[in-house]
Amino acid sequence: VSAAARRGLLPWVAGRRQALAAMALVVASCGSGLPTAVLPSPPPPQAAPAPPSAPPCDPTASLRPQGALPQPGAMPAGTFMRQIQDRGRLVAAVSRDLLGFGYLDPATNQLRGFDVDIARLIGRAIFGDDQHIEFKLITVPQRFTAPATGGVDLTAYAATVTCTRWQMVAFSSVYYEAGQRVLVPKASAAISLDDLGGKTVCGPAASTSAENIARVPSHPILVTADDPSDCLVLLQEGRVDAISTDDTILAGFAAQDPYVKVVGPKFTNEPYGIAMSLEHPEFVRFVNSVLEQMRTNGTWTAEYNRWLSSLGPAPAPPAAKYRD
Amino acid sequence: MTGVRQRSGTLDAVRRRVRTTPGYLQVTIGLVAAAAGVLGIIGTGVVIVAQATIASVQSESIPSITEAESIRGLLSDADRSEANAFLAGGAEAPGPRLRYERDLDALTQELARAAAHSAGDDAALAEVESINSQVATYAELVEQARAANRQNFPVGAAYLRQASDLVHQPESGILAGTEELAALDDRHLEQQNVTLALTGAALGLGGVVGLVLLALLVRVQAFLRRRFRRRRSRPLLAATALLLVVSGLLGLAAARTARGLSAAEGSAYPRLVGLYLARAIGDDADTNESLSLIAHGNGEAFDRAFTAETKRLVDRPLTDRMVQDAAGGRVAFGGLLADEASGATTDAERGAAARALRAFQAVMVADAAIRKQVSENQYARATAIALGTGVAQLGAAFSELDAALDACIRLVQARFDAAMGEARPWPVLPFVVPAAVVTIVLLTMGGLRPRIDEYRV
Repeated sequence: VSAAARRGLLPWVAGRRQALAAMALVVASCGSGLPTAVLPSPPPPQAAPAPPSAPPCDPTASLRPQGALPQPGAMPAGTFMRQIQDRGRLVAAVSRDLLGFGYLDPATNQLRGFDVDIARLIGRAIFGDDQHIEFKLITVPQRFTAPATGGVDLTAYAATVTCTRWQMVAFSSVYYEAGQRVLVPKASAAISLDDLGGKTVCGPAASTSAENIARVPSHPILVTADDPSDCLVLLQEGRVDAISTDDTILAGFAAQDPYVKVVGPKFTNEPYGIAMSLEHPEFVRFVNSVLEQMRTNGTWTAEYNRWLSSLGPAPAPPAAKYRD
Repeated sequence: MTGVRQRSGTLDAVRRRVRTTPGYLQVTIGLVAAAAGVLGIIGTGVVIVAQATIASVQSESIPSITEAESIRGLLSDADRSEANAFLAGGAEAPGPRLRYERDLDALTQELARAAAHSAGDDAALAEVESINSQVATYAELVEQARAANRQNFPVGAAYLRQASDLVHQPESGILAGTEELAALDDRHLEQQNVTLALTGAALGLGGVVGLVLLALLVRVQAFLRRRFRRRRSRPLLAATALLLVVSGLLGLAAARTARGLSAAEGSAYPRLVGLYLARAIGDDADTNESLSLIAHGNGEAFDRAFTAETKRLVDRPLTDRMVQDAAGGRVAFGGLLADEASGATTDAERGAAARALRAFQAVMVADAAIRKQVSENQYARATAIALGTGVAQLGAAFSELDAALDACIRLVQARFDAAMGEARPWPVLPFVVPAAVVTIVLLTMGGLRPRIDEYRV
């Protein structure tokens, strides 16, 4: 009687457990890990798919700003900026735990970082203050789907501009030049991915970093995680041997863990752009105007010094390139 | 051929002997003694087995199942406390942290009890050990998250996510482990119920033997009246009366046991499991509300989980009228809280169920206020409502829901214990039944021996 009553209370649990058990069996029999769309726990090592070949283009070239920036609160009628103004809020997607670029400060519970400040500047250009911006914290795989599907107005999340990604979203002009490097425990003798053949190397899922790790001739074993900081957790737990991603992110990791080191030179160029919907070219031009202003009035350098000084003295802001 | 002839000869001799009055009476004594012996063995055996099984159900199986539910609840509460502490941000909020530590202490004790209850059951013991190990890992991850947070390192959030995932992962998470443990204990309970059903069947067989014995006594009484012109044999009448009394006692004890088990396992136990589950689900819903706010605009999955969980508690928007009706025993909605309101039979139980429903209403009101603030991009205000302990704030509403469900659990536990107490056969029965059957045999002999002796003279 009791067992029947209990089954009556939890029929969905029983059903789901059976289904999941069956799924687990199938997965186990295939000998591969589950997809890492979400990282419920550090994912098992898995082979990365071969990167799609990008069409010949210059992904760093964006849409040229047109004219002076409109006054805050007076966005031109019929533009996406006006839609944002009428809605009363700019929705920006940022990272949640990338020290320096975008993270929720544990002490204040406030979002901080270079990307966060750029998003605020864009909001300020539309509304005239910082009160009309809504942040959404996203994972790496969501960086381009969020603006492409209209879930957010823009993504400012250490995103490398690529021709493939241009097919999904429009990018602003490049606002930061990063490059991929390697982070290992201090005791490790490795100084590059070439020394990590057969070893596990973590990179953010759906990122150029992961694609680059998969391309290395020494064949390190790629492990992916939805959030870059999950890679740091895996390294600290001893579940991966190294992390390879942008130097900006690795510098943030090194600042949080005295027992790791960033090694080797940059072996890729990772130009960062702000991702927006392809359907609103006027918004792309508007954002490029804000970035242009940032480069010329010293804000870019001030922001660099505020958030990224651990990477070295402030370089000159990346020059904007346009395709029209 | 010779053997067959010999057996046939012996049977003929017995038949001839039975046809004589002293022979018939001696055979009757033998049959009565045999039937009484079988009745005594069955009756005593059934009583002893039922007593032991019911004691085991009450003191081991069901406590093990409620322990598994309690472990689940404590884990959910610990995870909720940690999520709330993280959501509060800044200097660590002492309230959630203290609650987390208290939950973890209680969890350790529950796991130790579960290990003790699982002794001898390898599968259950392995599950308890697995949960124990995962809880230790969970606590380590939380401490890592805490240490990182205190140094203002955002990697703490990743540790916290990993800790929470360790609890909630569908197949391999700790909660899945507690469900597996409960399922193992449930199977154990099912086996015990089978044992009780078999003892019931054995008692039925005892009833048949009792009827045979009764028939023998009545028949021999009639024989004596016919052959010896005696109106009645007092010892035989006493034996018959004693047989009827013992059979009545056994029947009454079986009826009480069946009624007690039906009340305990058919009503109180599912309610108890439902209440534990409701409390854990309430904690999970609170956790998901906090995680949704922590996710800051990317918490659709947590919102969906919150909605699903609250629907499992009450399946539709709850109005004051619905709560009033439920307090009066008229429940027109579904969900675990509705089940409890429907199952409540006393004023105290209905009152406690209504209190839980009102707390649930407050949870939903506070949730609506949080969602309104989120829709207006007022995360700080939403967080204040989520963690607040004042009127119309979620922290207070969930605490009240927790307290109300706790009150329900205490009441239903008392009902369960009373029903199981009733289900236990009287402790004197294992002594009464054999004594009674021996007395029946002696009385029968006392009634028939003088008549046999008359023939010897």
